[in-house]
Amino acid sequence: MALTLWKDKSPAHLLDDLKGQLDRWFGDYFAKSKPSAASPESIFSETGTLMRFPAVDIEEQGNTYVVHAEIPGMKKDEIDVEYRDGCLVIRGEKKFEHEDKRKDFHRIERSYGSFQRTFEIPEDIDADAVKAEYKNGVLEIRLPMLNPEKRRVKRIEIT
Amino acid sequence: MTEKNTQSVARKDDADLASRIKDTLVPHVDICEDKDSVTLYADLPGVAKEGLDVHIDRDTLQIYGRRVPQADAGTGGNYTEMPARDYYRAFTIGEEVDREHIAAHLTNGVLKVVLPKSERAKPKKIDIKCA
Repeated sequence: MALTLWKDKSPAHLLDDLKGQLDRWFGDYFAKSKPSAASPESIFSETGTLMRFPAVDIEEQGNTYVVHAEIPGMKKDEIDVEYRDGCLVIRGEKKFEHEDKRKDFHRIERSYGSFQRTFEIPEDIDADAVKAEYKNGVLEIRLPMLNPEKRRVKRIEIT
Repeated sequence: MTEKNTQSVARKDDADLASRIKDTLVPHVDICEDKDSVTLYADLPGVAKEGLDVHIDRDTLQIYGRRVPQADAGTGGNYTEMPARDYYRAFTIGEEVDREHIAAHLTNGVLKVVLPKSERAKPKKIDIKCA
């Protein structure tokens, strides 16, 4: 894995790790019965009070890292994307949009509140050429490598 | 508005639907009601307007969202958390919904469906006449 996920070790995250392990053991068994259980959200996300982690995909496309994050229902200026000291930070806050209207709720399953994810990027990135686009509730960030030719490939002899 | 059992919907409808919804995710929804309408919000990140199918058949509201495939997929994912699966969920709607005036909008991966109540279903104050 080229990128490592940064997580602090507060009790909430330890529980998240445990949930991740349980999900792996049981596979999709619970995923069908629970909304979007396959995405690694915080187990506290239902309450919307603790920070939640949007699901991401990361891949290398040639000399560019491409990050996709699922953040439905935001405006593009409500999402903050930062590349600093070799780290990519995605953060924002999803506001509870119904507050102004007095309505009766039958269900509130979508999560609200602030979120943040931080990734350490192992290669040097051309910070001026980083681009982000928000479309259909998915944020795409493209991070071109600065010196792709310098990536060291060392072939290991098998003896 | 109550949730419909997916299996029963699939049995009733054609085999094509049954195969389409076989391995789908259940989207998160908010449902709220006021005196004029019932409004449903569904999180469908990665679904474009073209891939969205909102369907009403008698008492069943069905939502099917096809995820936009990543057009420029490279060497493959280094790390993946987003399930590359489509979305499906079905609800039973009551008699009071005016089926002719249901409106749906998709904005930034969130589907909003407004189901207006028919005139006769709205609360009405009864005038009391004195004899």
